[in-house]
Parts: sequence; structure tokens; C-alpha cells
Amino acid sequence: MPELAHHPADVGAATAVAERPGGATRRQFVWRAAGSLLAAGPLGGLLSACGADTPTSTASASAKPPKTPTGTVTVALPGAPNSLDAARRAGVGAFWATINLYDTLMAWSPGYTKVVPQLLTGWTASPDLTEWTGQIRPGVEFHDGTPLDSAAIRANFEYFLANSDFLFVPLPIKTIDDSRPDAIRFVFDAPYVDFTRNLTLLGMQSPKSISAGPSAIDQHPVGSGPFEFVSQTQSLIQLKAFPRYWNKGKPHVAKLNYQIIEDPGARISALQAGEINVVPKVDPSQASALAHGARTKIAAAPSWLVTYLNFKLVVPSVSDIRVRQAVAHAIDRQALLKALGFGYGTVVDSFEVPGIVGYQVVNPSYGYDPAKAKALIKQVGKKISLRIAIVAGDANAGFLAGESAAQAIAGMLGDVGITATVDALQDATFNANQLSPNPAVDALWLVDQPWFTGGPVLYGVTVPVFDLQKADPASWARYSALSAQMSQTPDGPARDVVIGKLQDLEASLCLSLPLFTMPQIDGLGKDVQGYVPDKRNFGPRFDDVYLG
Amino acid sequence: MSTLADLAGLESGEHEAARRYGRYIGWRLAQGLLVVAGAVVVSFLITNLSGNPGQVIGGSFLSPQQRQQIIDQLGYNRPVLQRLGSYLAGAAHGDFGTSYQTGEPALRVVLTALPNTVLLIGCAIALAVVVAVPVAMLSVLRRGSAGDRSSRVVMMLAGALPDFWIAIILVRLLSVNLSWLPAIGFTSPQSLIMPTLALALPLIPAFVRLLRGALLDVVGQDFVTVLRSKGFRDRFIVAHQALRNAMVPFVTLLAMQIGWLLGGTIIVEVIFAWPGIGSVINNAVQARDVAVIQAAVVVVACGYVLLNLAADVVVTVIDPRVRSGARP
Amino acid sequence: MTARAVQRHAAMRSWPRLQLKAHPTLRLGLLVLFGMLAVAAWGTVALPGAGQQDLAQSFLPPLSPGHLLGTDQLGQDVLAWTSAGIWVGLEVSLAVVSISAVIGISVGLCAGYFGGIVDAVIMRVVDVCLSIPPLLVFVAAAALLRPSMPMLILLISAVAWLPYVRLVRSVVLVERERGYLLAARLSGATRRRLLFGHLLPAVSTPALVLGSLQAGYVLLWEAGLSFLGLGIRPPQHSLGYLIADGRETLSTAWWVVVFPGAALALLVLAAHLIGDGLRDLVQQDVEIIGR
Repeated sequence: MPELAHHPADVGAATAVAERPGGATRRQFVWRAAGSLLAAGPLGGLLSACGADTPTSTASASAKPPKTPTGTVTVALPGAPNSLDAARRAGVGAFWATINLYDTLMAWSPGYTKVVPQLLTGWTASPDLTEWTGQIRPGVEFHDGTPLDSAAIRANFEYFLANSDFLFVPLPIKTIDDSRPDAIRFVFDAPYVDFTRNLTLLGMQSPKSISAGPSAIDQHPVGSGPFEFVSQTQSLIQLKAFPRYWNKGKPHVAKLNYQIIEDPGARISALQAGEINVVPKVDPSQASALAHGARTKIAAAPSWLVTYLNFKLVVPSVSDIRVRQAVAHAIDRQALLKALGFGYGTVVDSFEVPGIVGYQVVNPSYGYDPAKAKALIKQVGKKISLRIAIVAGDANAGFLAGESAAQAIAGMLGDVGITATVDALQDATFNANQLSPNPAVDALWLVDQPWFTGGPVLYGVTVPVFDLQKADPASWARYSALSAQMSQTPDGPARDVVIGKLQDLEASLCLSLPLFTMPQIDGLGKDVQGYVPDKRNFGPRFDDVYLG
Repeated sequence: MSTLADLAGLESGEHEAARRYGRYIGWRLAQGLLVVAGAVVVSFLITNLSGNPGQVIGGSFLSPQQRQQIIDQLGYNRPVLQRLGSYLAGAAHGDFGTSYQTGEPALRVVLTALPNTVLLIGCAIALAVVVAVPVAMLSVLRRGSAGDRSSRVVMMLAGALPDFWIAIILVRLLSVNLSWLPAIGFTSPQSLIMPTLALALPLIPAFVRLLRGALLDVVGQDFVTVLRSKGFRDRFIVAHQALRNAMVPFVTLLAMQIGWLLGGTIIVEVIFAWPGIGSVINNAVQARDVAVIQAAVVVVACGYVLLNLAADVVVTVIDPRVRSGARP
Repeated sequence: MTARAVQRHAAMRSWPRLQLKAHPTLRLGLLVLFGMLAVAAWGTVALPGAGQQDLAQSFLPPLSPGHLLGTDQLGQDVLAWTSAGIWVGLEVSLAVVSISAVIGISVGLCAGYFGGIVDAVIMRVVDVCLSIPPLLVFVAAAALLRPSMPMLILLISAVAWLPYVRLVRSVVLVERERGYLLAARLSGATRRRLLFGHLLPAVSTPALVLGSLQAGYVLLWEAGLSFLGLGIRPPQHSLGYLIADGRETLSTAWWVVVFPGAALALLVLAAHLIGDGLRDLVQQDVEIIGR
């Protein structure tokens, strides 16, 4: 069975992983190897399961990028975007549709190894990280002709601040200084360690658009990305190449369309029939068929998404730590992955994955031990019955956080004496209930959580942590202290230590169970070249994509 | 030679009939309007089933501030009756609000998708009729034989297959494995073939059953035996005399089926990503786009009413007996 | 009409003797139904519970040891699930048909018997309800509320009672034309006697035919909603849910889709055959389209 972890290690990237001393867990060394392979890998970034398919690299590409933008690429979206506004976009559909519309001040390098300037040419930060100055790239204009300058950037950030709960990315900005048109300076309330990283999510739009208001933006968004907005209907969003894009010679595709196809089976059929070119996040059961298809191939890369089983501490059935530990021990993650993963994916014993700041194996980790689980349940004494919540439909959830996985988990819990049923909730209900203090909501939450900034921003907002304050104030105090310390410590070994303590605390309290990580597998038509999957499942950039 | 009075008498008789007919049609129209008004109210009820739509509109990932902003913007902070009132007032002149997703007027979103569904339904009905008529006639001519009975059962089995099941198997076979036909969307006339098949198959047995029953009635009557003895061929008899009799209930059944299909194509449209009303409804329900859901319900109800009215008119044309003022 | 005529008429309205030999359609329908019930019974009794997972036995093909019809992704036996799904489908179907028949017949009797303004109001309400596409209502309602079997039954019943009203009302109108009702009334029968003694029997036979035809449609609706994930979900087992489960892997594990689909089709076929057969039996056309 093909598995990323067994890819030939001839890349020479035998970097040792920072293993926790005394940690009795498996090496993640091969993960690092694979990750490095990608970083050094061809721009094509097409990594397939070992031995099975023909990996494509730019060296062996059958055609070179065209001189002028040609061709149409159609991407299938699993759900309609909630909004095309850079400040309000949320969810897979919205990000995929707008990632090529908006540029950001900083962006991820093609291998997703580091953050590089995009709309800037460079940046500096004060030693105490309370001030941050970026040099604005000259000659950039928005799709409506407005030039990019500090006033425009300031307008954008003020707009973001007006929607301050945007994607839980904190923006503790004291002042924004746009006195010089070619530089933008931020002053923060306190040292802001992750600002550079978090900038990768904040798309810049035209100040003229912002002043026209949210409805105008929804109907005609204006950014500075390689593609500009043409039109939008219920099922189709059309973009076209922006002729005055600052990165001359890009993009290579003339038209970029996003077709909303809710039904996952229909998306695959359409790809196989040649009607669309890209299907994001393909179910692993289809990956092999697509990899060998006459007209199709896959692009796979280790992702930054981890599937978790989160506990809602305010729900009585799981407020006892022994129940949570029993659940953790009851789940045979290997068997689950074998049945559902079709050879892809890896079980994880960490909250993070390689590439995320502070990645390390967690201590303690809960292995498959049904006897122990049963013993714990017996200790608790009463009959435990609970509900596992998943997102209904496919729009934002990965399949490993979907129906089959949840049913399998329910079955495993049943085997140790916990009665579990699966509750498929609609998006809005799912999100609302996840954060609700109501003890009647579901006890377990199967979620696919992306580390979408490559850094630890999520620590402030994971589901179980919200409940911790109410359920266990002492632990919450320890947690808050560590969390505050972490957000003040710059990247480096010291930060890794703090993150390690934070993760260990979460693990010892059994707040959340990391299950596996699945690579980002995107389905492509055979003629799509230059495609690099986005580890965050927020949508890859099409700057370098062409048909050939 | 008819006197003027005779002429006048004849004309007044016709006038009388025409006036009564006109009243009948007018009465049916008024009823139709009442039904549509009821549908408008029901559309409001459906979307308010689980509480204030403002709580769920737009779906996921909205902060409390953003949600409140949207609630205020769209007026969901007003009391229920007030919302109902303004909704009814708006609906009266075609304003169902704007789609949350695209900002277009909700009615326009629905009406843009409507022709695609109508086309699909039209093809499905046409296919079903084209298959049902000869099958019914054959069945009547060969009635009682083993072949007839077994073919009836086979046909019924074909009609018992769930439409979504047929759809997914067709897609897998014809589109993915054989690449004969396009899998999704409406890109070419060939795109019509599979969804039409999926929709038409369950209809055929119902049509055949009705036609067969009506044909059997006629074929059993004495006058047909007489005609037969004169040497007309069976087929001619069955075709002409009998079909006419079958038309009235058939037309009415057709209208009901089309009306039902108008809102019943959701699953098939989803599977084929067909850009019709079914997809619009499915998208709107997923995204909680309340305005579009409401507009769709009303449009489909209007379609149903119009279809039944059209069926009534056609029935009176076919069967003049109904025309002479017979009240329902 | 005389009392004798009333009696004769009453005799005509009672059940004709059941001669199964002369009704091949009904015979076949009952055969198919009992066949499916036998399979379902055997599947439920002889096999371990439906929905029992065994991840190591994922996607076993049919005729594997212990799994006659194969298994799905989680190792759940397809035959066991299909059997359970047959019971669930029949349960929903019977419940819906019963509830909707009771409501529909009562309303139809009122409309037909009392006539006048009552009739007019009822028929307008029915028209409004009929004009709303049922699938749309189901999808919207099921998406907004948490799916469960009782909710599903209520939802479908809320739509399924409508055809009964039209049918019953037409029959009552026809019966009213005949003088025997007036005669019975004149000879001292109470209104209740008329409704229950005369009209109800008259209405029951066409209603039964309609009910068996409807049972097929209810099965399809339930399967369709469960297919979309809005209907019956585990721990209860629906044929539609299994079809959706196997849909992604149709090309490699066809048995997960084909067998439940076939079972569903056969059940619906049985319902249609029985409905047709009953109609031939009582020699009445229930597709009374009149208003």
C-alpha cells in the first residue's frame, strides 16, 4: 500500500527531528524527510504515492509556459463562498475562490517553508517586536487602477479591525503609520511575534472598494492578485488574468473559473470526464483511480491539517477526565486509517505537524488500549452515552472528519461500553454549538483543523480551551500563563520549549485527541502543469499554472 | 331558411355558453391566485420553521458582530408579523428580497434557472409519452398474453427504481467509464440525455397504466366490435377512437406530474450539477439563503397552478361536454 | 329508493370475494413482498446485527465467507444492513400511509359530506398544499431540523394525506348522487350511521388501493432523503443511507450500491403491483382526477 512515509529518502534530508526526551513515541523522521523533499522538490510539486504513479517535475513537463496567458482552468468548489470580501471570507469555498484575487503583504514560499514578502519588498521589526515596518513594492496597482500605497494598506487594516473577530487572527494594533507612501509601519500594544506569519491571510483590496461598502465588495471584489473578478452567479465564479499584474509574465492562464459542485461524486465525475481541471481535496478512495486515470492525475503534498476528536468539557458525559481518557484509548487509529485512508495519511501523536512552529511529539500520548478503556469506564461507574458531532455534507470538512470516520469511531466506542451516535450538523449550527456553553450540545467533535498560519495562532481558540475556563479554572490559569508566554516569545528553541509545555498540558488534561493527518491530495487534469497544492487547503496560487 | 330571430336565438345560445365558459375560466384563475397567495405564506413559514432565519443565514464562520450586522442589514431584527407583512407586500410586486450569496434579486436567480429545469422536464415528459403510448397500445392489443404480462412487470420494475440510483449508475457507466456523455452541467445537448433518462424512467409506468386503462375501457365497448367487423384494422381503431377518450384524464395527469416534477428534480439536478431550480434550491438550503428559498417555493407553486389551469383549458377543448357550464 | 334497494346497495359496497387465482398481478405483488420479507427476516435473524463494524473486513466482495452480499467500507455486512433497511422502510411506509389515510379520509369525508363552504375552504387549502413541491419542503425542513424517524414520518405524512382528500371527496360526491343516502336518512339513520356505516365502507376500498400505491412512493421519498443525509441515520439503517455510503466507491465496490437499490426497487415494485392488483380486484379506478 503506498504511503508517503516510505518515500525513498535519497533526497539526503536526513534531518533529525527534535524529539522530546523520554518520549516513547514513534519517530517522525520520515515526515521531515518527505517534507524536505518537497521543499527541495520540483516546482511541479507533484508527489504521488511511492511506486504507483509517474511523478511529474518541471524538467519533464511536456510543454513550457505560454508567452501570453492562454486557456481556461476550471476549479470545482465544494461549496459556495460565504463572501468574496477579504475581510469576511471564511471557509474552504471562499478562500479557494479568492486566493488568486487578493495578494497579501507576506506570502508563503512555493514549498511552504518560509514566509516571503509579496506586496512588500522587505520588512524590519524592532528588537522587542512592538514595531513592524514594511517596504511597499512599487508599481503595484489594484484591478481598478488604484495604486498600492501606505494609505491603501491602512484602509485595509482599519477595515479588518472593524471586523475584529476575523478568523481568530489577533490584530492588537495600536497605530498604523502611513506618513510615508512607500512604507507602512505598525505599532502594537505588546510584542507581536506572529505578525509576519499572520499577514499571509490578510488579502489586500482596493481602498475605493472598501469605501464603497460590503455589499459592493460582495458583488464586485477588487484586489491586486494575478486574476481579477469578472462575474459571479449561484454556481460559477469567473476570473480572468489581470494584464497589469506586478509580477510580469504571470499568470499563464487567461481565464480561471470556479464551478460550485456540491456533490463530491459529481466533482470526481466531472474531472474524469474532462469538464473541470482541478478538484480540491479528493477523497483518498478516489486518489488511486485519479492517479491512474486516462485524463487525470493527482498532486499530493503533506498538509497542515490535522483531524482531531475534541472534547467539550462542559458536557457532563465527558467532564470526567477518565471518560476522556477511555475514549482516547478506545480508538484504534491505525485500523481507522487503514480502512478509510486507502494508503494515505499518517497517525499523529502531536497536535501539530512538521512545518508548523514548535512541532514536537506530545507527552502523554494515548495509544490503543481497549482493556484500559473498559477499566476506566468501570471506574467511572455510570453508563456513558454521547454524541459525536460532524459537519453535514462535504463543504468544509475533510472526509476523515466525515460520516464514515465518525461512524467507525462510534463503533469503537461501542466496543468499550460507551454508547455513541453520530450527529451531522449543518455548518452554522456546528460552529455555534462548538463554542456554546450549553451542556446539552454534543460531547465529541470530529474536526479537521488547519494550522493555517503555519504557526500557533490556534492555541488561543481551540474548542476545548474555551471550555477549560469554566470547567477547570486552575488548569485554565496555567494554560493562559503558558499561552501568553508563548505569544511573546519569538521563534526559536525557547519558544519550542514553551509550546512543548503547552501541548503537554493539553495532552495531560486530555482536551483534544489528535488522530491523523492526511496529505492534501488535489485531483488534476493531466494537462495542468505547474500546480502546487496548498497545505492549508485554502487554495493554491495559480501564478505558475498553465495548461500543456 | 333561418329567420333573423332564429339567428339571434342561435347566437344568444352561443353567447350564453361562451359567457359561462369565460366565467368558468375566470373562476379557475381566481382560485389559482388564491392558491399562489397561500403558497407565498407557506414559503414564509418554511423558512421560519426553526426560528429566525437571521440566526442561520449565510452559514458558517461569522463573528457575533458580523452576524448582528447582517441581521440588522436584512431586517431580521423585526418581529415576525412585521416581517411577514413586509414580505407579503414585497411579494405582491415580485420583490422577494436579494440573494444573500450573490446580491442579485432572489426572483431573478430563480427565474434564470427555471428554463433549464423546464427544458429537462419537457424532455423527460416527452420521452415518457413517446415510450408510453406505443407500449400502452401494444399492451392492449396483446392483452392477456404472457408476453404482455411479463413486459408489464418489467416496466413496473423499471419504474420502481429510485431516480437517484439510476442517476449515479448512469453517470458511472456512461460518463466515467465510457466517456460517452458529459457528467455534469449543461454544456451541450448531450448533457440532457442522462438526466432525462433518470427522470423519465419512473414516469413511464404511470403513463402506461393510465393509458392502458383508458384504452381498455374503449376497446371493450360494443361499438368497437362493430367497427372491427367492418374490417378496420385493430391498430386504427385503438389509435383513433380510444386515444381520444384517454386524453382527458391523461392531460390532467400530465399536468400533475409536470407540476410535481417542477419541485421534484432536486436530487437528480444535484447529482448532475444541472443548473436548474433544483440546484438553486439545494444551494439556497445549504447556504441558508432565505430569500431564494422563498422565491423558489412561490415560483414553483405558480408553475403548478398555471399548469393545472392550462390542463383545464385543454380538457375543455378536447371534451366540449365540460365546456357547457358544468361547475366543478 | 326502498329499504331493499338500500340493502342491495350496501351489499354491493362490501368486499368482493378474494380469488387470488384470477388476479395474477396481485398474486405477483404479494409474492414479491413476501419474498422480500422472508429475505429480510432471514437477514435479521441469521446474521449478527446490522451496522456491526469490522474494519479489518472492509470492502469484501459478495460471496465472501460470512458475507453473502459483501461488506462496505467499515466492514458492515450489506445483507444485514439491507434487511434492516427493508424493515425500516416498511415501518416508515406503513406509519405514513396509516397517518395520512386517517387524516385524509376524515378531511375528505367532511368536505364531501358537508359540502358548501366547508368543502370550498378545504379544497382551497388542499390546492395550496398540493402546489408546494413536497421534495422542496422535505429538503428545506430536514436541513433545518435534526433528522430522525418520527420527524421524517410526520414530514412525509404532512404531504401524503392530500391525495386521499381528493379521492374520498369524489367518491362521497358520487355516492351522494345516488338516492340511497337520502332514503336511509329519511328512514331514520343518524348522520354518524351514514358516515360510518355507508360512506366509510364505500371510501375504504379506493383508499386502500391509493394507500398501497402511495406506500411505494413513501419508500422512495424516505430513501431519497436518507440518501441526502436528511432522513434516517445510524443507529437506524436505511437503504438510501447505504446507497449514499457506497456511492464514492461505486466502481470498485459496486455491491454497496446495487443491492440496496435492488431491494428498494423490488419493494416499490411490490407496492405498485399490489396497488394495481387491488384496483383490478375492486374494479374501481382510483385515479379520479375530478374536482
